[in-house]
Amino acid sequence: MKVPTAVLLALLLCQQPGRGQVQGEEEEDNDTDFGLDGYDDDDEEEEEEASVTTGGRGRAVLQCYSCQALHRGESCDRIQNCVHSHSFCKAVISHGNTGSGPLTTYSTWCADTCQPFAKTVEGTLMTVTCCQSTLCNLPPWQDPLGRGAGSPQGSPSLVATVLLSLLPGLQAVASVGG
Amino acid sequence: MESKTLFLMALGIWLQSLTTTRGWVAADDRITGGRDFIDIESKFALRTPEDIAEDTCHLIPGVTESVANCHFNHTSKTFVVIHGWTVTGMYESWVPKLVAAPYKREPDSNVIVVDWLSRAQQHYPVSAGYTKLVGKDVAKFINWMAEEFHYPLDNVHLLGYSLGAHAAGIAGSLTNKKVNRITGLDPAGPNFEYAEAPSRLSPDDADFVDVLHTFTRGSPGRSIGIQKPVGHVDIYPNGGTFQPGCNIGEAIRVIAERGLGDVDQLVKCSHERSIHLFIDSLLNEENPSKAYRCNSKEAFEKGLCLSCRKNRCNNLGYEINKVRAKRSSKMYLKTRSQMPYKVFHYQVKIHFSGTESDTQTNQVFEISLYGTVAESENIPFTLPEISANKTYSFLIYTEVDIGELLMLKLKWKSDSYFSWSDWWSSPGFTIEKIRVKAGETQKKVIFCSREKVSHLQKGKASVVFVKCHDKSLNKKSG
Repeated sequence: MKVPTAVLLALLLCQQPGRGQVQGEEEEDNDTDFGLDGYDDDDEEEEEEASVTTGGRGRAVLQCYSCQALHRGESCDRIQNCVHSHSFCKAVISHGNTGSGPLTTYSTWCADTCQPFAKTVEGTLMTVTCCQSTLCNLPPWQDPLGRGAGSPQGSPSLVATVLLSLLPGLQAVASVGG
Repeated sequence: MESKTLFLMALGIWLQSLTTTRGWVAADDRITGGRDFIDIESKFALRTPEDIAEDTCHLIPGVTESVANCHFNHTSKTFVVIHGWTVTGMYESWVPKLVAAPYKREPDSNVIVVDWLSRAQQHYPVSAGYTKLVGKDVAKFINWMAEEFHYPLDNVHLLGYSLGAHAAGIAGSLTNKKVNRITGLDPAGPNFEYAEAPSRLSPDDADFVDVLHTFTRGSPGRSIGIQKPVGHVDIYPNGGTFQPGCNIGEAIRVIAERGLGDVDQLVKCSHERSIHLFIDSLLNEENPSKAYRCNSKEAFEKGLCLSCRKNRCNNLGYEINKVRAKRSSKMYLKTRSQMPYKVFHYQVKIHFSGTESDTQTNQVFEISLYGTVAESENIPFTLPEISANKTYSFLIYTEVDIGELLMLKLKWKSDSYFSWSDWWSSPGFTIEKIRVKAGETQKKVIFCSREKVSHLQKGKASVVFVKCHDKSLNKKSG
């Protein structure tokens, strides 16, 4: 178990651009120029995302992919070790028409609560999915073997095909419901 | 604004002249007790759930039988309602409502109405002075109940409105043991704003003192409701100055609908809102309104205070958590204009990027929130100024519970319906993410542009953001 973790760690460390982006957000969170009169939680928020450690011996920590607003075909390279209270990998998929045609986005993260859900909002199908096993939240179009869209073999996988055919169906169900 | 207040005052005085002839009714038939209680002028009526509107049975200090006669329940809580200054010399229309609500919530309790109408219908400064005597009367009554019947003061909750709040405070300071709780319902401001703690409501007057400030408009000392915090927890709904639904337009509409009968209520609409907020908290127990600690109204309006850490948020009204901070704390919330008053608060943070060099002032936007349960569309908000590459935070609120947030739409309104300057070169910014913090659920949600980056242009189509992250704030990890 040690070896794969180390590999993951190495992988994560190599993905500087991706990591940098996430850190940038956290910093932006803190750049509060609102003065001292507010009680912004950001000021004292503990780093909730567990760091990638090999020390959590004996305790199974859930790992989830963690990415925001990926478009179809984009792969998620960031893996997050969830804190103990977070027992779900949660994903939000939006599928709807934009000014430049139909667009699907996929966001996923570690979460403490998760309720599966689907509803068409203003013409956009919003789907929330939940799963509870390690790295269960790969984007549906991403190759589960870790070869992302960037690799030459990154052909659309079976899962992606399933989702592609599933989405209009879900949308139809949601429309009937609404 | 000042002229409006003057108009309301004039209306009040005119009303008084209309009703003085009727005012004498309640002053007679004084009920007095024995020996030590001869100087008690206030009367203590134990009302029943069956007859919430009439003082049919009085508890008379010194007269032991009176307590059994009125079927006082010795094993339950007691609410003591203390009215304020009255122009008519009669009970106002809220009194039966503030009797009915505790009975609905605590059917076995005792709701006592303190009648000090004769002292309360004097010139304001005279009546204000009488709060000392009324407080003394109430304290004597409570001490007698404790000594004669071993009734625990831990079961006593005083509810004082306007001048009645200060009478309750004085009563609390004079009881042999501290009463459980005093709720001050917009305690009177004139003559009390600068008064020392012993002669007004203060945190020492009960085990716990909570205060609602609803009509604190005007300079300190002239405002109807006291401006400074006087309890352990002081809540300022809608900033505390003035309440929604209480403007003149609303008043005229109500007069047209119901006639002049309720005019006294309209004059004191914001003042009296404190009572109805408390009633709301008794009746709608399952979802109490939350108030948030904040150093200033302005910071609250920016959405900076929606935190529940370290007791920074609390329930308004009956279900309040008894938090006693070293220094009194001001808490804020928004409300609806009618019962149920609860709203849902959100802090929205947006970073505007771009090359726009001009700073724009007073720009109007509309935001729509879509959730799992419902949606709230086209909520307007104004940013006093915006310029590129800055983050702005502001507060919005919805009357409906929209559930878990899913999607957000943002629109930048043009200045006028058809503005030529915007037509030729409408200013715009790019936005990647919008951060929203929900006060009621203590969740932080990040919304991402579907196209990675969205272009928000003044007067143009709204842009859509979808949820791409969320996080609970109250749960401790581990």
